Amino acid sequence: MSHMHTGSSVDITYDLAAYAHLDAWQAQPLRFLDRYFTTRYYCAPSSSSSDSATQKRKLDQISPDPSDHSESSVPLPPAWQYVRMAPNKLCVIGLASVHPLLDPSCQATVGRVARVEFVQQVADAQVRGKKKRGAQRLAPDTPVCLVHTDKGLVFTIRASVHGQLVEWNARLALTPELLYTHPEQAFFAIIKPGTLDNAKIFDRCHEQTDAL
Amino acid sequence: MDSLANIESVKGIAHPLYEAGVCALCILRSAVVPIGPAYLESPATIYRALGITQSNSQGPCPACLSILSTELFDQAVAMYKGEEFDCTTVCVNVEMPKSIYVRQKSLQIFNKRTPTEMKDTIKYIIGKRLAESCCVAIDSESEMHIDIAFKHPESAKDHQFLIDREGTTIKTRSFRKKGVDRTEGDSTSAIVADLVQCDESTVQQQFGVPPPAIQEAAEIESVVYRRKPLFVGGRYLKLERNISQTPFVVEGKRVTELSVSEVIGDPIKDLIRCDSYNMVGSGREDADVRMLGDGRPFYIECTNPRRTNITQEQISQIEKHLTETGSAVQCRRLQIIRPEDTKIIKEGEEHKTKHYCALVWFATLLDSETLDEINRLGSGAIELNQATPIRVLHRRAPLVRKRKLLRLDLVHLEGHFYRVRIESEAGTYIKEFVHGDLGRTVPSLSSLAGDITADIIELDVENVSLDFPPAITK
Repeated sequence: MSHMHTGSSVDITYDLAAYAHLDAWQAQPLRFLDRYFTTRYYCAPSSSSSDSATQKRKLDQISPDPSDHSESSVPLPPAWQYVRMAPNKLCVIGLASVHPLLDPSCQATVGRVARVEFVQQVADAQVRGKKKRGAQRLAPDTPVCLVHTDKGLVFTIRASVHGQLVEWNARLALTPELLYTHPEQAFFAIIKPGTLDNAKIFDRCHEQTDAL
Repeated sequence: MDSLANIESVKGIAHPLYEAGVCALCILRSAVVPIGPAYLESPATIYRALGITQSNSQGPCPACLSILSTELFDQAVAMYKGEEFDCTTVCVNVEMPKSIYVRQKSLQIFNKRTPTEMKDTIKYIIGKRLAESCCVAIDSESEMHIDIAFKHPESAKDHQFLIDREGTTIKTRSFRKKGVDRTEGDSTSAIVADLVQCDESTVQQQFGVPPPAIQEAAEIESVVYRRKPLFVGGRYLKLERNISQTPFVVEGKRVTELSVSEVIGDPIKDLIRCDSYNMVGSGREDADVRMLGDGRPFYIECTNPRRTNITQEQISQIEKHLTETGSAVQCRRLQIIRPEDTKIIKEGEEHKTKHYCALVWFATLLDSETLDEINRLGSGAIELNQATPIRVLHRRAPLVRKRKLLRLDLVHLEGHFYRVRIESEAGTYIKEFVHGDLGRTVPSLSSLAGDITADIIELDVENVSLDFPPAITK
């Protein structure tokens, strides 16, 4: 014990100098989330892998249309989705700031979000109780949601981790603009991983968006 | 020698029994000598009265497995005396090896009469010994229970012939559980019931009449004490952060160095000398949150206390010591409470409001209109919808909880720091109200400020409004 406590009705005072390091938050307010989450970025399967035709078609939809003669083409960073893991291992998934939808320079080609459509199984599931009964089981590449833009493009949002879907963000489905107005509230889902091992949870993730 | 006045009736069977190795007390039992002072006499006295000259080679008694021996009684009494329980009455329960029942049957066949019950004899003798040694009286209604169990591995299979015999009433099942072979169905009651049915010739041929000799005497397997728990109530204060309410261990390591239950419970345990204690608080706060003001009500349940006659001064001494040494965990109103008072603590958790004070950081400074508007809203009730916070969602059901903030008061301190004081309904998650939990608590302080990012830096509980236990009048 470094100092005595009288225990009487103390008038609460704060030593604000101890929090001077929080000045860094002023520049990037969402840095405060780093207190609560460990952030990683999910790598979607590449178009060169021998995946299903549907997958390839969807991926083609977001790569530049060969017939489109606009001067800027959509860049393809490898990791477009963030995975924010809380200390209790629950993972919040959402669009990383480098995602074409959130990149102002891509707006001409990509357009703005028109509709957020959660996959049928997700929307129908009823998760109940402490043991999360009725939760859908997910693999990292399992599609969770489709984001439609006003230019007719469709982005597939995937689970990113193995686990159970505990919650999907109905507010985002109702108000797709949250992606622009309140990015931290525009997460897609909260997933309870099947393991407590960080290496296994982040098996398909990287520390930076521009990794690889 | 008055107690052995009727010894004449015993002499007839005494010698054959003695030859069979049966001990003095079992000879008395065989003659159906009623429970009384006769059983308190020493073996030597009894043998003399019976006219038996003792030879040296007397092995353990095959009738009682030498349970009715001075050694075991002395041992049991000494064990109880050593604990120094402060009660005046005691209720003794005895559990005997299964073979005893078979041997009593054998004895009965030999003597052609039912011997005095073993359990009654044991309880009588131990009762008298406890009375003279520890000043306690035997009372079957007593709140102090002593369960004495005797064991005798050597005779564990004595009853096997009953299971094997034609026409047995014992149904056993053998199975394998967790890699170990087990047999069930041969309980004491099943054996006793079957002995009633079994005919004497079977016992004679398959077991032996009188009961066959044994090599080893029985031993005490366990002495278990059961007593009504003692409840100590009070209010605890947590004046520093990173102290959990109960010991917090993750993967074998302590997460917090101290816990409220240990700081208050350990001295109580030392004072009343109980086996273990369990702390129950009227709600709890996170380890990084302080508990100030008049503290949070709690009670500690102490299992099997040795001392129950504790004075208020002695209890208050624990409270005084913690306060005087400036401990990070202190208590108030510490006192013994009645068992029925404990439910007040749990009821208060759900119904009573709490007062909080928090240090909050905002990304941009609030203009005066916004600040005034928040305080105006805060002068009345604010209804919240809180989805289960992400930080507890792994172990709680996903639900949306409606909670009320009864009062809210926000002031600017300096720079980006503000102080908020809140009075809220029980079960409100204050941290999530401040930052909004990714939009899952609506409204939040962040949303009320016009969607300015907010975070909670420090949180203190200033008051828990349940008035229990009563203040101590000096």
